Amino acid sequence: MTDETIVLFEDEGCRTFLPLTYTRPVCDLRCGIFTLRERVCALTGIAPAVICRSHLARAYGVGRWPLTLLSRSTPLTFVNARTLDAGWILDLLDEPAGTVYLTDAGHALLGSPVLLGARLTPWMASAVFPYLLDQRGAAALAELRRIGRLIEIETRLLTFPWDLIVLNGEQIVRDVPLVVRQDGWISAADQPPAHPSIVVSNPAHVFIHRDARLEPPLALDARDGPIVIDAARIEPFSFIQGPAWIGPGSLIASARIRGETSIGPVCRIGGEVEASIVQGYSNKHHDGFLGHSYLGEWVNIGAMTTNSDLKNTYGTIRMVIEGFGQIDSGVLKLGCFLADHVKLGIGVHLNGGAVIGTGSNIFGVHFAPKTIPPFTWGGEVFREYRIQSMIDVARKVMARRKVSMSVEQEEVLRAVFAMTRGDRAGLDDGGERDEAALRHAEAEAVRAFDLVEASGG
Amino acid sequence: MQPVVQRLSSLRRLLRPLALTFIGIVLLSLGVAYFFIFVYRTATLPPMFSFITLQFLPLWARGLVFVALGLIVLAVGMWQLSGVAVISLDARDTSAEVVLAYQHDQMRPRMTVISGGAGLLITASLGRMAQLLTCITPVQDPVEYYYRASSLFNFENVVFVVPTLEPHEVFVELDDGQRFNIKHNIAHDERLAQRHIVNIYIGDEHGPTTTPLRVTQVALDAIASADVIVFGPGSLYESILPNLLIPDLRDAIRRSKACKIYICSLMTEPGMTTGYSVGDHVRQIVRFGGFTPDYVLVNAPRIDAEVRRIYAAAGQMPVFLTPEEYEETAVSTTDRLTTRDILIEGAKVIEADLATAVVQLTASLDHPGEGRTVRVLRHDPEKLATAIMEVWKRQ
Repeated sequence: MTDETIVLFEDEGCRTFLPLTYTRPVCDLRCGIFTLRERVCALTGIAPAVICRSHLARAYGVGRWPLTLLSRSTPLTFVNARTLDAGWILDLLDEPAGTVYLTDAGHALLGSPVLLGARLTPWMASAVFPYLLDQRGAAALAELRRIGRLIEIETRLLTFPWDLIVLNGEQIVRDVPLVVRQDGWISAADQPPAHPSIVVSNPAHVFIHRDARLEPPLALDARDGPIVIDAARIEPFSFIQGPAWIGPGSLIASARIRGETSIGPVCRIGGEVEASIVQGYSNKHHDGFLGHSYLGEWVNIGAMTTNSDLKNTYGTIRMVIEGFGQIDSGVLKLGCFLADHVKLGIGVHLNGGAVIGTGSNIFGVHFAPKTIPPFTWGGEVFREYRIQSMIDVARKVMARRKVSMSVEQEEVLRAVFAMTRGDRAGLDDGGERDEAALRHAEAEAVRAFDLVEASGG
Repeated sequence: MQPVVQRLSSLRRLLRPLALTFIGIVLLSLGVAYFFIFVYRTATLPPMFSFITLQFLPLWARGLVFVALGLIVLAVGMWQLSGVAVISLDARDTSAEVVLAYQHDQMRPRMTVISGGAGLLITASLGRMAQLLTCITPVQDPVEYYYRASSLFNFENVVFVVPTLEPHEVFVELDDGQRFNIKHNIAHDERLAQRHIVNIYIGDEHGPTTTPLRVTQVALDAIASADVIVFGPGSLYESILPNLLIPDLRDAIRRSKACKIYICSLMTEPGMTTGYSVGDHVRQIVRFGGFTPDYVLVNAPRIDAEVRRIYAAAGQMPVFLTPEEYEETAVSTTDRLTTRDILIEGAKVIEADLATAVVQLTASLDHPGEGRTVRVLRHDPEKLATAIMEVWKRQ
């Protein structure tokens, strides 16, 4: 199977996830334990190629013009990057060339049905390749209808950002077998924690990596779903409720992790977190509540910063989706969505459905607006964040986790800055006021990423 | 007030040139005013003039009115100028700025190439000059060959697409009535060296196919949106004509308003185009494609004697314009004094230096170990790119 070529492609739906997908392809958004790219790799043993928007292609895809993808004479398997449950990919790999999988989009805004995947000869693939390079899934499907054998599949596609939150719990459950079949995993039933102060409920559903460091007293409650703890460090007085996943290199600092939560690699998490996803390399080290929310990479949340995830009226929460305006999510509980490199100061309160764009640095405000454009700084008054300053801070922050920003990643940030300039047109552009406050906030954000020994060895 | 200041602040880098422009306009106005005063004091003017020059008002009031009008016009102009936002090209270098609404991409054409073999790869190098270069591969060739070969190059803005939803076989009929699949290596079959092709069709050895040929939408889109369609370089019968046999694709090319450029072969091909002149090549395109290219690019310089001898030994001759073809001239509408275009079947023929002699290592599939180096003539990608861009700009 490793001779197969699997190509993950973005379609029109990648834009409904902005600003989260300004700096990463949709297939690199975490839902459950994995991103789709990781899940396909774990499921099939094949590292998939990704074709995505042009500004991301060099950093996260196979280049803007990935001509070598079609250079082999064997069939290629194309997979929609918004796929959640990847089980059907194994079926598609067994199908003859010319098989096209469709699925209901789940939302009228994006049209229906949607191209889910296809197994194509290079000849067939070349007929739709230019469309897929431009994220025109509908045009590709129209052409494939003339070529292929169409099969309708019932599966969920990620359509809007809140799908990540709503579907996270069940996806953790689905992902568990893919993780624990690898080396180094032991269930608490097979090898109960040595210390009596580590209280485990339903130990058969608690999976602990051999490099994980658990410091008692702890409570691990897997009655509502599995708990998967990778090579992370769990500090005393933490409470983890399943379904939950704690990624490698993360530190759970006496936190209450409630069910349906995914904590990506190398995060520092404190306070209370409920039904949320932290993509990775982010900090929410102090007290404060994070519920039904999504945090990108390199996010830092100051102490006592809290988000609301339920209206007092118990009404459904609306969220602004770029290009579509306000859309009713249809869910009662929904928190905030913070894109990559967002920094929030202390004591910031966020509304349910709040969206803060890439690279924004918000401080000195009690209640943040519901929508903040990318590369914004301030609180009382918002201003455009100079891209060079933002990149300088990001470099320092990443260096503290021993990660260096690649040239391609820097190009992505600059491209996103340029393409979102219009969003910041109404911001105050004048003067040097509060620059000192920004310098202070930047320094705090960098300090928050101080090196920490997160995993035991 | 804040939004107004913010908008106008986008002009801060233009302050100096705008100030100089303002001073220049003031000086120019003074000069014009002196001329007006001279005319006013020396010539006899109609009564209407006193109204136009506001002579019913005292001098200070006239000045005030003109100053006020001037300021209003100036403010409107500045406001409109600030609406054309000035942004930094590169945040690392704040001195480099660009005025929005001007995009370099608009200066680059969308190009579509119909060719095959090594010729298609030569034209693919034009991608760096195009917004998008779509290469439509021959209907009988496996497209992955082109993708595989392209991995040796660093092509930009290039995609290879197939013309039909399924591959098809192409057959040719020689002047002695023999029929061959175009994949039969006719040019290297010594028994056929003196023959030439009289017919080409998509089908099998019994005749043309009767089933409809389904064209890919991506090929039709590429034709419809192209600014330039390039035919060649490449074998006339192997690379260019097969796709022109597809009715829907042919109709799309005919309908297209793009500049159609045919790059004529450098040498005749034994068994296929033996004895063909430039005009014969163009006439085959007109015959099978049903359209005339706007331009035909022909290699002009004399070919090195040694190279010519090598080709002659293989039964190949340079493709040239016959004396009769030279006589079919027309005066260019763009430059009546200096330019005289040669027209063949309505296509303007442009002779230019398009080729370079290169040393090539050849090996056959039958005897892969027996490679030998030969001096061959090839279309030069750089020369070709320059010529095509010049033709497009001329268009």
